[in-house]
Amino acid sequence: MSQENQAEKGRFSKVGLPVAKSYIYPAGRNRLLLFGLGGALAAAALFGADAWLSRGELISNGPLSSAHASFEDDCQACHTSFEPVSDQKCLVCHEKYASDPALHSFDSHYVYRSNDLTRAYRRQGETACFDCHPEHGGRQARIISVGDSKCLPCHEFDAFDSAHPQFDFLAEGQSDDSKLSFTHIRHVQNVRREKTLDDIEEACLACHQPLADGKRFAPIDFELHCQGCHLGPAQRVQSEQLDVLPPGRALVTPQGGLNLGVESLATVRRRQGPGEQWALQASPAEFRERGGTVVKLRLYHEDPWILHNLRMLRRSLYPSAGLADLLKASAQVPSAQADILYREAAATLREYLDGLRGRSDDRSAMRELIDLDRLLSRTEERIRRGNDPMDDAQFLLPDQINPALSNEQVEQIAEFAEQLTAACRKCHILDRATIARVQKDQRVLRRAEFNHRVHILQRRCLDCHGGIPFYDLIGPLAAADQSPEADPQVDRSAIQNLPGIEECRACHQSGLVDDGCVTCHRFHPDERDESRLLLHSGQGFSVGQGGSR
Amino acid sequence: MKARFQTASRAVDLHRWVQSPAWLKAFLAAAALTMAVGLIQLWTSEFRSGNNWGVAYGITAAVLLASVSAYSIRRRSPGRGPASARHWLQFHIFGGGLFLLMVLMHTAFRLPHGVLAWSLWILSLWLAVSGILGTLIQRWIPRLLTSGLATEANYDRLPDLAKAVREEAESLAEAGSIAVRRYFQDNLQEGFAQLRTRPIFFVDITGGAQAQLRQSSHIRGFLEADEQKTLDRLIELFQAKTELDAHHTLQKALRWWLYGHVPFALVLILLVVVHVLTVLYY
Repeated sequence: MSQENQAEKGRFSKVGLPVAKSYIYPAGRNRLLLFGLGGALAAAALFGADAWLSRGELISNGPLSSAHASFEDDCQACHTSFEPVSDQKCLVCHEKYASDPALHSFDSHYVYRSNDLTRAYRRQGETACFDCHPEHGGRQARIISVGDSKCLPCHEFDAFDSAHPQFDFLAEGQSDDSKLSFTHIRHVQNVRREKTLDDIEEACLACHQPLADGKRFAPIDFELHCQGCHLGPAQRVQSEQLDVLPPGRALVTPQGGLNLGVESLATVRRRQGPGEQWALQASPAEFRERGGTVVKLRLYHEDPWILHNLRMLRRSLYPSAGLADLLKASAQVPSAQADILYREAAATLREYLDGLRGRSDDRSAMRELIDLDRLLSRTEERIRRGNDPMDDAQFLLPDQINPALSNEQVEQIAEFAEQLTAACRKCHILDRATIARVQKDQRVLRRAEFNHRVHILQRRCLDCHGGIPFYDLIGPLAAADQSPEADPQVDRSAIQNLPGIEECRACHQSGLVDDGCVTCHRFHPDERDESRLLLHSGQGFSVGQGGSR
Repeated sequence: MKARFQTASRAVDLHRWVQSPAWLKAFLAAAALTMAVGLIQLWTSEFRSGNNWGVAYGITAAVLLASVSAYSIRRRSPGRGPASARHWLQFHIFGGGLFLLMVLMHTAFRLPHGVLAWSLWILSLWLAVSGILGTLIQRWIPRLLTSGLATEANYDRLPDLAKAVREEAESLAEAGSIAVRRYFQDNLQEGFAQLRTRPIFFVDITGGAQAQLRQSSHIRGFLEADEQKTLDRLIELFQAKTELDAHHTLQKALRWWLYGHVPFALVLILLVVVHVLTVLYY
């Protein structure tokens, strides 16, 4: 720096400003720190007082959702000091049963809809409840609305409108396994004619009656939906003319002979065997026996005489049928509905017991009575333990046919069974001398929920259920008398009259109608099994009391 | 070699706005890496505070906050500690930017819930904004002071200097003619009264002095030669005072922005401690 510049240093243009007489100490910056410390202490006091004296509102991550608002003042209801929020605290309210596997666990999710009990085992590091249902998002937060990101780590399906697989029933070509012989078009025409319905879809609703939840339909029930036309008071249906088995003679003799025939009402009445009380109430006038043959002049649904004789035929084929003998129809039910078999078997056992108790003079029946009573107790106990999986396999007929019968004899028995059930087989399927159990409550979309009510506002029934060409084959009501002959190619009960995923994608796509996973799928099992806020005595939780639980 | 970002129309001189382009590049690399990690997370998991990813972002943010805050300690201990003060400052600036990014990733780029979470979020944002503002001020005002004003003045001496100028001006006006005295009283005296904070200096470093002195040329024609010299001296003193006001205004801004930064940082650190404790407890 030059001398001249040095002389000018500290001078303010042409104005000579005085040079400082002493060293200037810059103002301290401690004031900044003091301000900061003051603010920090004030904040600490505020939060401390809130946590200590108040309800911790300031340190809370936000208000709880509406469903949990009553716990707003009680952090410990969900939180435990220095531990993550435990699922157990959620389950205090949200678990109906304390049994294992619990309803809201991953175990249940694995089994849910897959019905594969081998998947019901506890896994380490399972996703906690709060991972999918985060709280403290405010009163209006919908914590049950779970984003796809929660599902995708396990289910790599990605976007519904492009990467979701086709529905199983279509992908695997599954047919409608209703176990009924049925044609829709003829029935729709009959219903239209009877009820003078112009609208085809109104005829659908005559049988497919929506449940109150609007999602599904009530199971088809013979008394409600079929009896009006089939086997009702106005319908006189009789059996074929059948050979009568002489009293005391067995269908299959010890020597391997075959005496095909049915037991007459008189034979059954005389024997008064277990479960044969129906014979006492049946009218002999309904039977016409002539020349070693019999015709039942009036048939009913689940006709006991038909079922009795069919059981006899089945016993000849499968002498060790076991528990299958206790059922009126075959044992094929969805495994989740195995309780149906147990209940039906229990009802049959009760009939047997009533019959045996009525024979008080027969001391030899006592042992059988005790055995049956024990079996009934076990069956009823099994029904009561509703949470444990039921084994429906023990109701199945054995694979092995009576070895004493030749193939020709087996065929003769099968033919006779068909002759016996000719009237039944107009609707039912006969398999191994057993009426195939009708699958009344069919769920084709096994892993998804579908709500008909919310869709019927947008589309008509036949817009989606177009597998059977109703509009093409059914004319106006005036022509309803001319029922078209059912073409089995286009109208048979095996046709799954359901739309494929493309139909759904027309609306459910990104930017249009919601297409998230939880729109159709549920993580937890059926909502009917959800919590009823049972009070678990062991966990000391009570509703309606403030303070610590 | 000057670091330049070549654009379509012209080259942007990084040195003009960034003290250390190397630190800027390091920051951009770290931010890009963080975003890449975020993308991987988006692919494999989800953005949420509560999962392992979110907690990791939170821990990183807390560590960054503690680290950049250490600059304040280093600043009060000149010559001590590792690395030069310049590097500490650069780390403070760019580390603070990275801190904000971590906070946003920790909150999954969503608005928070609850008073504490909102406080943390707003304070973090405020610290970043005030930090950027401070950085710009510290780059801009010194240039303005050195290029636009005729001299340097120590901020702590400004009251003394203003007083000296005022006293000289008042004594000159007192000894001058009635015309000069009247002109001084009507036009200049208020300007000498005290150091003034005038935002105009941020946009016009002269503070509009020429406009204020325009009337002096009008009365000059009516004054004797001696009186003209007195008037000229008064004008010089007025200009000097105006520059002292400019120093006062601009240097004050250099000091006072810290009040919008440092105390809030301390409050944030405390709230982070509260946040960590509540997370551990609950």
